[in-house]
Amino acid sequence: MKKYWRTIVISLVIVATISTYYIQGAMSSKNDVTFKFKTTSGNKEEIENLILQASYNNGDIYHPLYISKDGSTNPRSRFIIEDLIADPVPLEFEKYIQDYRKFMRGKVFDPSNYFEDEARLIYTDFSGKNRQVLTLQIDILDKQTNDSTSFEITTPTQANISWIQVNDVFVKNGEIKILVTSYLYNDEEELHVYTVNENKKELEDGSIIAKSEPGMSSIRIYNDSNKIQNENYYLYKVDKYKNKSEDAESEIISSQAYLHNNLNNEVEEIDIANKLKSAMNSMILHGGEVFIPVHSANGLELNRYNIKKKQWGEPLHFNYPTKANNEEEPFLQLSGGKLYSVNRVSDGYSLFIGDLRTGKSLYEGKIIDENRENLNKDYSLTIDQIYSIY
Amino acid sequence: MKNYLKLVNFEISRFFKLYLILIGLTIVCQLIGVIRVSKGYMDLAEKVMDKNQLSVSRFIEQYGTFSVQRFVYSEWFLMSIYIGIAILIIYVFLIWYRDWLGKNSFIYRLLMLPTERITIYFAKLTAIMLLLLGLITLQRLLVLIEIQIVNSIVPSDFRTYSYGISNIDIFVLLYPNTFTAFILNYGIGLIFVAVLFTAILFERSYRLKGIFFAIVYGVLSLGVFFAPLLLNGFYPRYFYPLEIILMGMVTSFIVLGSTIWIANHLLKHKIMV
Repeated sequence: MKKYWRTIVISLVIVATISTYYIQGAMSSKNDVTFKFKTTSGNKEEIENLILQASYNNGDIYHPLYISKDGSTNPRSRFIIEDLIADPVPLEFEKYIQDYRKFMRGKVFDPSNYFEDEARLIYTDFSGKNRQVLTLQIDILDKQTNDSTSFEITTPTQANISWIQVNDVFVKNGEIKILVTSYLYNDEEELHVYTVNENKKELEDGSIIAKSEPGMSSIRIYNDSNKIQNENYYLYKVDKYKNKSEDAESEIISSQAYLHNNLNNEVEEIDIANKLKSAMNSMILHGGEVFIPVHSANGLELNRYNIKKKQWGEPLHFNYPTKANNEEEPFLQLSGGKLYSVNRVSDGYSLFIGDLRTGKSLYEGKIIDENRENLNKDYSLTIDQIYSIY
Repeated sequence: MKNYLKLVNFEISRFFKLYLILIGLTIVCQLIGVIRVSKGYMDLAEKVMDKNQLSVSRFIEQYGTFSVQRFVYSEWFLMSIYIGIAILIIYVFLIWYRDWLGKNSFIYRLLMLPTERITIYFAKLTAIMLLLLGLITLQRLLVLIEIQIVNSIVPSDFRTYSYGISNIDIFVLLYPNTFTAFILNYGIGLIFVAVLFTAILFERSYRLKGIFFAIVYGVLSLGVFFAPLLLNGFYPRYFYPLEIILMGMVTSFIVLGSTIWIANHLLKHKIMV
């Protein structure tokens, strides 16, 4: 036995240290930074199915989190290798992969590339992005039978396109309309609507609805990039700049918002009052209305424009506490006829849920850290997306 | 079994002196490093704050807080890690070649032992893994001491709150979050060492021609091992991560199994003394 002392010592030290490390790790993971909701007022059912995809930042530490009524969990993969192989799957795609495992193979997990209704799931993507010929690939899944068909369409040659981004897919009456931003090699941007006839499997139209020139104008799209279902309109804004010199800051001379109607392909301008022009960048398209939120010290003024009636309605007012001189951009999301807002307050973050129809508050609460002693006061919590999981 | 343990202990004992020197070097290097880096930061803080009449918070705004990362990415720390890695890699070769090149061809006696020759291979493999894990363990213990030293030199106002070493990127590989991942990472390490060993045996069996065989064999093994990842590169997102991991496990077993089988064959029939 004495002969073996070196090996025994090394082995013992290894086993002791490594096992303590993992046992300790398993125990102390309970003491990690964890967040939960604390209801102040309103209906608790509002947060029943809510998941906040967030990240905790503090100095060098970045920590992704999912926060739900049961507390917060770490979505980090089981194995590091998993992260090396692929980007983590976004929450909303987990159920698609579960239900349509075969169909989802090889696809980009970006909601903008998809369309879904009760019967079908349609995926569109462009390939050969850097080559002479641009092909549009369309995959259609019948959700009942789980059968899928796919076809490819060669679009007219677009040799000077360096990158193409699918913004939204609209499907109605046998037509698939794909809103696309093409980034050209000369830094120009084009907003295209490609219309594909589903039965003939051919391109019917590929019109440009807006175009920008570098240094002169820019385009921004305001459709909800997480919405997979049909959206009848495309909301976008074109900014025009004064012909700017190299180092001077660009000066906007005009800002115009447009709505492209997917049913009749008409484009209309939206008149926006001067006092709202500065808030135009936070425009939101939701449920047949265009919203412009304006933050104030005691909450939010939500200006609304009815697209059908072509007129501005009475703004909604939601009152909730915010921290004055907010350095952090408040988080705002409209989905399912509700407003979700997360704001920095003096002792953490507040969560507010409001009804867009009535303008009433549905839920008010706080996102608090469970183990206060683990938390540095300088932390920040960034919300990326709020999901309602049913 | 007894022969195997004897041989492991024998290999460890042979490297023990050098191992102690390596351990000592690592400790000295890192302790000097941690003191110098944290003292350097505090000296800078005092000087800058004094000269420009800055408050602590203004200083932190401009120069950042002190986190363990600052030390971990300093030359002192990295150098000690690189030296450890380099010596172990050299020893992967030395553990075989010293038996041939040393005084009175020790390998002759080893191969004559009344035991399966593959036991020698396993013993050497075990020794390398033990030595590697020993250094990993040392590093783990050293970090605990180093954090204490940092805390005693740098006041808490200047420090970043940090929870655990698992948040430092280079430690994520060395000490994965879960035990499964730990086994997985070091399992891969074990496979690489085993493949290197077999490549060495190719050279020892066929000499000059053997170098060519060793390279072909090594490339082939790497190809099989990385096949799932290559597949993922050619067909992005076609396979789900878990499927690739399962494929990876299968290819790992193929590589490990074949490397042991080949090593056994070479040791039994081809090895030249």
